[in-house]
Amino acid sequence: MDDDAGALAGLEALLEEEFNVATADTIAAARAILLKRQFEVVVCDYHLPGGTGLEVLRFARERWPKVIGMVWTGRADLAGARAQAESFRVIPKSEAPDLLLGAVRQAVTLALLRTSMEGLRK
Amino acid sequence: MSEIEEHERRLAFETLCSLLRHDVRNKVASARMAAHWLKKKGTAAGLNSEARFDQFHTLLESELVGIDALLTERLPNTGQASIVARGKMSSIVERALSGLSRPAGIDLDVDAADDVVMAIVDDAACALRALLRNAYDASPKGGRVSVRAFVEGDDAVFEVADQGPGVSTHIRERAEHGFTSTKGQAGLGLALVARVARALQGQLVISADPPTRIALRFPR
Repeated sequence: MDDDAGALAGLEALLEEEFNVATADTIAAARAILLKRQFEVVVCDYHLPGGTGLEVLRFARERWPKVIGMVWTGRADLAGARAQAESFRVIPKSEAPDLLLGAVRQAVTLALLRTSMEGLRK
Repeated sequence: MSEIEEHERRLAFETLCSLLRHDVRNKVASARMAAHWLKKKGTAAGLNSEARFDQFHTLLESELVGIDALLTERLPNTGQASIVARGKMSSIVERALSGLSRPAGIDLDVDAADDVVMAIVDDAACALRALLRNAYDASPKGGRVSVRAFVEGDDAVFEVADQGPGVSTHIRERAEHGFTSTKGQAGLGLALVARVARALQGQLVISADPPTRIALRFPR
């Protein structure tokens, strides 16, 4: 999710060829989607009108504890962003799109592996 | 220019640089995503047999990366490392008020506790000055502005209230992004306060209804 229409369109275009993607441009819209659907990965901008992406990622994790959250940010003080990002991974917007794509691939693979492991245990 | 005014100018400049870096970086990221998509689709459609296709994609990508690098290199964070120090809340309020002229016809109430808090003292004073300026500007003739500094639980709170028309939802939501103001024009004041709040691991709190109350709140 991202409140910047251009960034959101770019994000969707980058990911939709490999993954099922849902997008949201407000915190309320993201919450509404997360209430209805389970996701392996949630990618969220940091600065959002009326809050931060961390709120969305925390909400996602409460609802779906196995979700992997990522903060995709244009913040210049990356150290500050990382310090505030709790256990969520921080991906700078200044990095090449392939880096974000790779991180999402990695996270989805991890999530699928976890699901398979749980299936084997049962 | 007084020391606090000089500090305020520096903080405003840093806030402006930080907002510009963030906003331009967002735009650059969107453009890079779009370029990435176009390259992929163009390659799939066989456009890469056209020599200009790769050349222009590479040019686009390198220019966008160059813009990002310019932001980092030429628009650096000019501030010296801010020092968190112990300071009396009343001293921070006093520093904020020093040299700040109050418009005629507007009353000011000050109620500041003497509790000692951990803060970037000059930054906190500058944030309070920005809130006070907003309050003075928003106040009707004969209005009253109040400044309260108090401890609430584990937090230090610096709150400014006025009898102006209140802060719209739009401004509340966009405050941290800068270039919005309570006066309906481009402004940095609330973004500056939000920046100070973040540096102190705190937040900018804006009341939803009139009377307008805006507070800088951070762990003490």
